[in-house]
Amino acid sequence: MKRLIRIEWLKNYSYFPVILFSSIYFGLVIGFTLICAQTIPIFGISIKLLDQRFLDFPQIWNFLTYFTALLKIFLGLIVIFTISNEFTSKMFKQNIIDGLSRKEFLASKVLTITVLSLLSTLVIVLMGLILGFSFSKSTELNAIFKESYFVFGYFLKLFTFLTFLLFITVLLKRVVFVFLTFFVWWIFEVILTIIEYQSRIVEKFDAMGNRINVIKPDLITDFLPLNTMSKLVEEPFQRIQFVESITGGKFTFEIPYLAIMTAIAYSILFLYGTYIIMTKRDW
Amino acid sequence: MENILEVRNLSKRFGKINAVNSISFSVEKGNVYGLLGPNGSGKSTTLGILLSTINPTEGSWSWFGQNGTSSEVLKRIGAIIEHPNFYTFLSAEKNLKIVCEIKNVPFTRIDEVLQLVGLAERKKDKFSTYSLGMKQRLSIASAMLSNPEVLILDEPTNGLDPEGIIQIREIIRSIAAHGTTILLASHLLDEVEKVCSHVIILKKGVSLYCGKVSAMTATKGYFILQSSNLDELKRELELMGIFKEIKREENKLVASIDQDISAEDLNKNLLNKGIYLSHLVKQKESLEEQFLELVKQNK
Repeated sequence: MKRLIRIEWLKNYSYFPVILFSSIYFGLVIGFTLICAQTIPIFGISIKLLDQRFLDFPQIWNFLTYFTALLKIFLGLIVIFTISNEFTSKMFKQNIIDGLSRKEFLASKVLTITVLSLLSTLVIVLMGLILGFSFSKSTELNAIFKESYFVFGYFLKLFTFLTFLLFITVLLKRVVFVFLTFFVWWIFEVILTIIEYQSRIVEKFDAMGNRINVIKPDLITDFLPLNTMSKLVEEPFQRIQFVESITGGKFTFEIPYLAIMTAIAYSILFLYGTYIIMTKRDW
Repeated sequence: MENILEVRNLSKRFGKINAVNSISFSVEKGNVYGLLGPNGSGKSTTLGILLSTINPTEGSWSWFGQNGTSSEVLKRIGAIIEHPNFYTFLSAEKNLKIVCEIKNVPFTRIDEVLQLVGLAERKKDKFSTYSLGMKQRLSIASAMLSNPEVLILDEPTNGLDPEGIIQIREIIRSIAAHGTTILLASHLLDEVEKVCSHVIILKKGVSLYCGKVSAMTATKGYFILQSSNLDELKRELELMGIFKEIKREENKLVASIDQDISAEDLNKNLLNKGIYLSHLVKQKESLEEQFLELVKQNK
């Protein structure tokens, strides 16, 4: 394993897209979290840019992981560019001829993906702790660790996303095709989701025509890859709205076990698919 | 002799095209083999299969007595396929470090192989700044990192200038002199003739011949003769009855030998008949002529 990490390190550490996109990514993530905590003076009153409720433990984890995950495309670009380069410059073929097995090649890429996801998760944990200890009302251990699921969910979300990109990059080889396919797939998922939502959701109205109840069945489109990934870390606004709603119900956080299982299944599927392409194709 | 490679009935079809059609050959240790054939005769496909980058349709092969091509076997082979493939943004040294890691070879080999191909001074330069000849030499250096038992070269002098071609051939010769088995694919007959002891001839995916270059045809060669009276010379030669065919080409006669005779004896015989030669050469058919002959026979 050390050997594979050394190989990946030699290949990547001075590759321009890797340097570019990792600086952009980590710059944005750190910059974003730091800006969140800033107060700006307006008409003599200092106003915090961010609602206090987002900076409290435990929901800070939900908030941080949700927003920084929006930047994951920059990590994706690292994967797309490095993998695409391996295939367009025929280095995959050369590596095989030199004596790297296909399994080792795939393993080295999985290692890179894991390292990228872990690094990003580590940065989020650090930023979360710094922000939390500076601004959270409660810093009890219980509050800090209560929703530490989000750290895992965030890691899994990145990992699944990057294996998805690994798969389509090995399939299509060229950066342009990968971009096009990714966006087409994204739009495709959005359209399918809207269609299913419109056709399966049941709304009940009272005599006056006011909506009184919405029955939302489990949607099949939730199992599409990108939807699964977003289910891993759900948007944090619902919990704020919940508190403010007239019904006054209390938000209870639940670990999305189904989405976790689906995401793991997708990761395995993408990696297996990648391996099949590497073995069956003539290079 | 120990067989390093044995290929049995190997076939590869791309759709309707038979790129390689049931070819069989074996490679003995310590020899230099030429894989000879025109463009599109299946040379690169064959090498691709033997190096595990192309899946065969049918057939089997074994390296060092082991079936197929494992990554462990590939570590014992040095191979250069088509164009030199390296990470363009890395220096020669860093590129070779990656190959060292892949082949489990210590980094100390890097300077040794760069010395061998004369690139030691440019090792810190990016690969993208290299000329084609230097890139090709770096490929050879890379293939030599693990001290391979077999070196596979696919058109190593393709696209090089004469100086580059000479450099590459010198390197191949010095590697062959150390007893490394070499398999050299080329469409250049004279290249194979200059470097190889054995030859495998492919045409449209079929192997026509596999064996020593010298034993390729059974012909004993031919004489080229010139004299002031060609008609008389021709008549005398026919009377001797040891030639298969006597052809007139411009102001020379070309006589294919049936029963072997030395140039000296022939000259003496003709002198006794009162014929004085102004030109006498005994020649073996060049590989090119033998190759064309073989390809013609198998049309």
